[in-house]
Amino acid sequence: MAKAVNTSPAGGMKWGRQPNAAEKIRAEKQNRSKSKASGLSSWVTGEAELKMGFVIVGIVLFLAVLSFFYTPFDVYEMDTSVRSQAPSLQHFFGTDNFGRDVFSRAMVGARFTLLVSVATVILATGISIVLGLVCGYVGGMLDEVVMRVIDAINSFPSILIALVMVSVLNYGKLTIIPALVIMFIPSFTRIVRTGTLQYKNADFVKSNKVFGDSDFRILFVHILPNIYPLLLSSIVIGLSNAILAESSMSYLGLGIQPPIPSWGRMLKEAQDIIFSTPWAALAPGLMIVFTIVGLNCIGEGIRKKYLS
Amino acid sequence: MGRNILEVKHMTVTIHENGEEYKVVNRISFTVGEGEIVGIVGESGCGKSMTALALQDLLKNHIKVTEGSMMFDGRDLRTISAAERRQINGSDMTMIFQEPMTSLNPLYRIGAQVGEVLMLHGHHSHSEIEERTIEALRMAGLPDPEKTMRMYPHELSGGMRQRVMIAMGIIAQPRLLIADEPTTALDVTTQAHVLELLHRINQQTGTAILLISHDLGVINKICSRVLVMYAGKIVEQGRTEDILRNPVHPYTQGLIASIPTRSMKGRPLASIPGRVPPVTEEKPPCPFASRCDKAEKRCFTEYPGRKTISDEHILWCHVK
Repeated sequence: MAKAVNTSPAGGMKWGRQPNAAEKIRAEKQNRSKSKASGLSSWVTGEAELKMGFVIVGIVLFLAVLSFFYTPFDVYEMDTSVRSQAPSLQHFFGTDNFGRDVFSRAMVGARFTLLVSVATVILATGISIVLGLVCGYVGGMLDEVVMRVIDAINSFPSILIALVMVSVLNYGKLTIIPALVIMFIPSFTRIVRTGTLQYKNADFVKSNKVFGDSDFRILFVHILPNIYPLLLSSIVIGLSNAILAESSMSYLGLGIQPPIPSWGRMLKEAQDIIFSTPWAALAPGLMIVFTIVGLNCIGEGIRKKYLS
Repeated sequence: MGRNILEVKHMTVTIHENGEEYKVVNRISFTVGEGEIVGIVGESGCGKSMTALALQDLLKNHIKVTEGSMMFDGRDLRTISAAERRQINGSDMTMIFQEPMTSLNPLYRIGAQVGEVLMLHGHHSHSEIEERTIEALRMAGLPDPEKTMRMYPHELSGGMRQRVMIAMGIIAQPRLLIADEPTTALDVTTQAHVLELLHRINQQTGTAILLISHDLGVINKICSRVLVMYAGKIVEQGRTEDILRNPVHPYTQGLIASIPTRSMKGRPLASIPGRVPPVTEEKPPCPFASRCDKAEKRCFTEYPGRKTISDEHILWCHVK
């Protein structure tokens, strides 16, 4: 900071006099506002991406939460008098072939899609943290076995595994969650394991041992927090992948059952009527794109701001 | 001097690699008395640090203590359980590392890291921990400990971080402090301060110190006894003044001759020709024989026996 003060002509400083505290603060503020003012640099530092991402994801979340209290039209009521209407001021995204309001259904559809993807990512992260930490720290045979199993999972197309899981497990409303969790464990585990390997021989971990920390404390109190930034951006990207995966599963008819809407489900139904009412696919499609762009912005912003 | 706090007997450290075994520390024996400062000196790669790591059970998986015993306060460190080990670590025996820049977790404040040592050893009262942390930081010579406590490691210089490490080392009032080249990464003025600090801690709290260094000047300043190590063996040991004034082993003589002094000004710096043989190499019975200008035939065929020069001054060499 002292350097910045010396090079800045502002602040009324004279030669041979140390700047007092108030001047230092003023100079620092000026420096800060300067870096904020430049729009380009905020893209480089990831600030702009973070902001944009939070706004977009915020809007989607707002719509999803709002759907619990209010939707423009009833989601399940079929009204033959307004079948297959094009978008209008009354029906923002038109109505489907049963006369249901597409926008309202997309709002409610967000609930299930977001629930599944958030639950998937939380579960997968929890399991991966334990697996990755233990494998990286203990090493040896255990590490070898777990990593080969993960390689095996990785070598299947992920959608295939999910299909098999859904058909093997008892078919229920949320069977899709464990199926997706399996898909996400490999990449998260690798990230945690790599981070653990990086820190397990760090000097501060050695000194923790010398001062009597247990292995458990070393792993969860000293190593894990150092891995968080690495993990955080992949969690956010993982969320958007989970939304995509949920949508594809629902599209294939393996997610939620009608008439409850989810984005993937709505796309599947819209496919049959794509030539008569193309707008039926627009709302869920746009919601998916919107959410994923938002989440990727956040993920990228985190990566730029904290990891580089 | 009283009782010995640490008694190492015939300790051997072996590296297992590609089905081969190499001894990096070869049957060394030494003691550290209570409240004593003992130095281990030698070139890089002669087994000093391995000895320290073996004492703290920090050896990597493929390196093991294969022989001998390490008695700490009457308990053999080789046979105690992991839980007992954790109990000793930090409260009775601690270690300071060479690299202060990376020895602190970057995510926690200084106070939390220093205080954690106490918390791990059964002190749970928040105010007591804080009080003793401030006291330890002050004792380690950090100005304004209350402020330092709230800082993160990146806000401190190398010398200050080493002082924080020392504070962590002494906060639980251990009986033995192992310092593995504590001054190597610091600049010269800071080195002197840190050595002075270690000496003062020793005087005030009676903590015994095992100081590992490649710098005889450092050893000379604070150690009462020195062990000279070469290629995994102790070749000469004794009181610091005996070793420095009257070195007998050719290796010790070489080490002392290679310290630059004022009277040598203008002349080329003295050095010991050759290098420490790598651990993978088969060594003659006297490991120094291949570099020794006084070496005789038997140095390559017979193990040099233990010779006592004077009280406590012990030597392993054929020539003298």
